[in-house]
Amino acid sequence: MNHGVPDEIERKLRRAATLEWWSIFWLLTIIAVMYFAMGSSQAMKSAWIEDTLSLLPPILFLLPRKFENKPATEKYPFGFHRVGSLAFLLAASALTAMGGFLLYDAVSALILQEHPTIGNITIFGWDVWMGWLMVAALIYSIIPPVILGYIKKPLARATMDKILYTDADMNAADWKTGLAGIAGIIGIGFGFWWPMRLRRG
Amino acid sequence: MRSTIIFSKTGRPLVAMLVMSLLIACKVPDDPEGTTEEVTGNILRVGTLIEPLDRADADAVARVANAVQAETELVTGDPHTLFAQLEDGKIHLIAGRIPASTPFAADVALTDPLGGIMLGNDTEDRVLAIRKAENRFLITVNRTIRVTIE
Repeated sequence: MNHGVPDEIERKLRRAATLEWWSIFWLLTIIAVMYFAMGSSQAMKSAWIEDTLSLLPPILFLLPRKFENKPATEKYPFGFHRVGSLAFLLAASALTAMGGFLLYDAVSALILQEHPTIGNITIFGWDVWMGWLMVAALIYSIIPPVILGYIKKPLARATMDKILYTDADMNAADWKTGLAGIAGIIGIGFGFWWPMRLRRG
Repeated sequence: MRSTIIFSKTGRPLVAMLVMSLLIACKVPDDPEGTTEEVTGNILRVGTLIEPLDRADADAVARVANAVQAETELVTGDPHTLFAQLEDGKIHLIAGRIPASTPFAADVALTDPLGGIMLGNDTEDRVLAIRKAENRFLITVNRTIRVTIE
């Protein structure tokens, strides 16, 4: 037992920590795949930044676990329990900033009527429109977070951990962003220039 | 018998999917402003930044025109006017020793490299410029360039 945390909860937190390590691993693979698929597309770059920033909640869940159980010191006589709240504040601020950036980016692009150009590429002798690669990358980017999100949710509820809960919720809702992105690229494929902008909004 | 399966209720989604995939295969990606359709069997208006175009650019332009079975019409002018005309769709392509690092890159779409050019001491990729987001036309031009290089 750690600082009044029941064994049952501690076990769940440990399981959540394992899941967060898995989240980081899968996110890194997604970031790599998205990087190779994005080409010069500005919209995919935004999606890529979004994926990179979504590394923050798992990291900010794992980091405080290293500190919060440390014994109190002379300088911090009440211990380090509140590190979790500080991490939550950081994660929340980062996500708000990201949301604001994406909204600004989308609205300004819509107002300026930026037109997304997506060319083609040769892979193993096949001439492929990069839009299809982006769709494939986006499909891949949906699967691990949604599965992990649904596994993390009950753990977050049971442990009453707010970072874990936010992370699980965000992951579980990831398919919406992914599907909107896919719709955006297919829309561009059909010759509409604006769907990607709305998606980002 | 077979037609009854195709037009039966269970067959309809299958037919719809087949038709959709065929449509997607033919039409995706498309041009928002219809450049490919406009030039095919018609006139390909090419802005030239240098006169006459050197061999690599002239060859590429000729092959693009051939690919869309169009007559080439060369338009000369200062770079800013030509790029503004390209953005407005008044011309379809700009050629003439354009490096991939051109400052106009943000306002137009650049094709795959069709070779290199020397700028000072550096070698840069030589590209053509087309109207932004005309993805079908971009692919047509890129495929032509690839065949030229091979």
